Amino acid sequence: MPIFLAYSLYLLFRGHNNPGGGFIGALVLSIGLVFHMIAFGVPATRRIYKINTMVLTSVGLLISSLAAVSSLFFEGVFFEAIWTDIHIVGLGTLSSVLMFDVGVYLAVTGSILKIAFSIFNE
Amino acid sequence: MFSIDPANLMVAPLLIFMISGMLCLLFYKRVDIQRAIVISSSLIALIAAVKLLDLLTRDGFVTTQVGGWEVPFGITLFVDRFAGLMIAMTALLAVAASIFSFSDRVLSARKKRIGFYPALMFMLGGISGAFITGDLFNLYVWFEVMLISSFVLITLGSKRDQLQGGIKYVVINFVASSFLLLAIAILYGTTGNTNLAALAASLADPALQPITRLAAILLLVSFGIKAALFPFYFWLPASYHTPPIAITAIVAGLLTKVGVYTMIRTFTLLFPLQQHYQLQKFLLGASCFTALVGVLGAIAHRDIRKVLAYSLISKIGFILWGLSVYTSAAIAGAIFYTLHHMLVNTNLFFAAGIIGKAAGSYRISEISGLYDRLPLLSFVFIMLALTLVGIPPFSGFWGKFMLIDAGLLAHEYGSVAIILITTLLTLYSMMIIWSKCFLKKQDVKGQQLLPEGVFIKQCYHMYIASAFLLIVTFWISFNPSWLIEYTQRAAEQLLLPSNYVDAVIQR
Repeated sequence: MPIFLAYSLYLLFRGHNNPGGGFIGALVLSIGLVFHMIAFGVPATRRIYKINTMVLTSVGLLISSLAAVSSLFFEGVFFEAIWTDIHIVGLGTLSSVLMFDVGVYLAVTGSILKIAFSIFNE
Repeated sequence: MFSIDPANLMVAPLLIFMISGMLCLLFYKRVDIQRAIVISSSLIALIAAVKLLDLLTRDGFVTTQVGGWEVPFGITLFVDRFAGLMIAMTALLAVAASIFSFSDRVLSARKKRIGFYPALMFMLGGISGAFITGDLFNLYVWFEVMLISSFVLITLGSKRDQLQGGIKYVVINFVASSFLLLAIAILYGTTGNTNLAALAASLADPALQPITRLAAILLLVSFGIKAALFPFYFWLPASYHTPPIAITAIVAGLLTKVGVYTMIRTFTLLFPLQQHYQLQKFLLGASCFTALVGVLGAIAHRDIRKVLAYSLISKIGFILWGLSVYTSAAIAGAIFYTLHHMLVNTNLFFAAGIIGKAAGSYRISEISGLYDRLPLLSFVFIMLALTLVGIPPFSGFWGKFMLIDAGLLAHEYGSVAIILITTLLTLYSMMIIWSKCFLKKQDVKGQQLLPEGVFIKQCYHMYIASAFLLIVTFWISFNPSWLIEYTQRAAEQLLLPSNYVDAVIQR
């Protein structure tokens, strides 16, 4: 599980200029969680990782749309990318693009887990 | 509030609906919070849309490029007067629908807990997205957003007949979407663009005509299915009466109109009908048949919801007939009629919902004596019926007058006759409901109706929603000149597609 998490975060943060990104990162993370679910059952997974899929999805969507709206406050064109001057080693430059990706990451993880949980509960 | 660049006002309704949908997901278990979010956000969206309309009065259109990317690469957003009117009407209906579904009596608490509000908001977001987009592929994406959330709405609660209707609905709409995709593929293959303005510019080249005509036909079929045009209308009556009436009302009021909107947009901008003579003839014939078949269906059916669904189809025929006559006046009439009909049709479904609530049934044969017990509802219903038919002071008359006047000027005497016959038959179908359900004395063995005072106390929000739309209808009816003028200017804009192209490409 830590490996999946680490690799998915790696994919998330390299996503802007290299293959990767929020969607594929979320898929990798959900593989890990789904494996855990298959091995230990849904209640265990829910308990250990304290996941509320609905909240995860909606928070992710909100972050993404915030990234889209935020440019309205600064420069004036909808969805325009904003780049800050803050560089963090390993993460690259902070920007609204990254924010959008993080949102996608959370939303996709949430919705995939929601689907997986409901299928597994049947 | 932050200072708003006018170009950004156009995304406001879309963003408000989408974000409130997300907030509803966040409070998934708390129906009361969701309800507050939905009502307040629809009101804000309405205010934004009205401001946008006001802006468009002066400027004519607003356009922006998403993300600041240049024209052929980025997605264009474009709102002209026509789109502005449609967005405003959508927001208006959103307010009414959220009031109507306020109480658990109309839509059970269980249905609200499993996602009514988020689906409603995402559907409205998809609709406003489809109105503002200036890109064919983006339009397809919004159609999918709309389709998926409306599928959720129609099957909400998973009753047997709901699923049956829902399957028909979703299958036929997927067929429509795949036709749309095929058309996009053809257009993209021949011109290398999906941007509407860039497409319109390159489609003017006559060398491309043979292959793009195929795309035009595919688009006609695809939007025709979505708008319930004559040969493709059968999915609508099969699915629209199954969900709870609050959902039917909003879905019926909006979704087919999006099809109509895209059709008018496509066949004025991409394939102006005066250059596509056969298409125009086909559309003329199909819309006359739509009007006739729809109204005949309305007469034949004995379930109020089905009667309304068929009369909806017949009015789609009117609107597209206005498009196919293809003069400025006729398109203005079509736009006016679209707006009037969105209001009246939704409100008629609201009224049907109240009838169903009061009488416990939608079958005409099982309802009687409404006039004695529920005079206020009777007043609302007869006003709406007369408006729908087009009795002079009401808005239906103005729309129909504009359409028929334009038709006569264009020497379309045959189809004008059909439209007039349809009007007469609509009157007949409405009067069946009126005389059987309202005027007929109550059966002794029939179930007892509550006195209206008690009933209103239980369901006051249904009356409020209905009264709200009725007031807007009256306002349009007795004060039609500004709207007529506005639609005429919108139609002139639509008939000058070169302005659209210049506005987008010369930026």
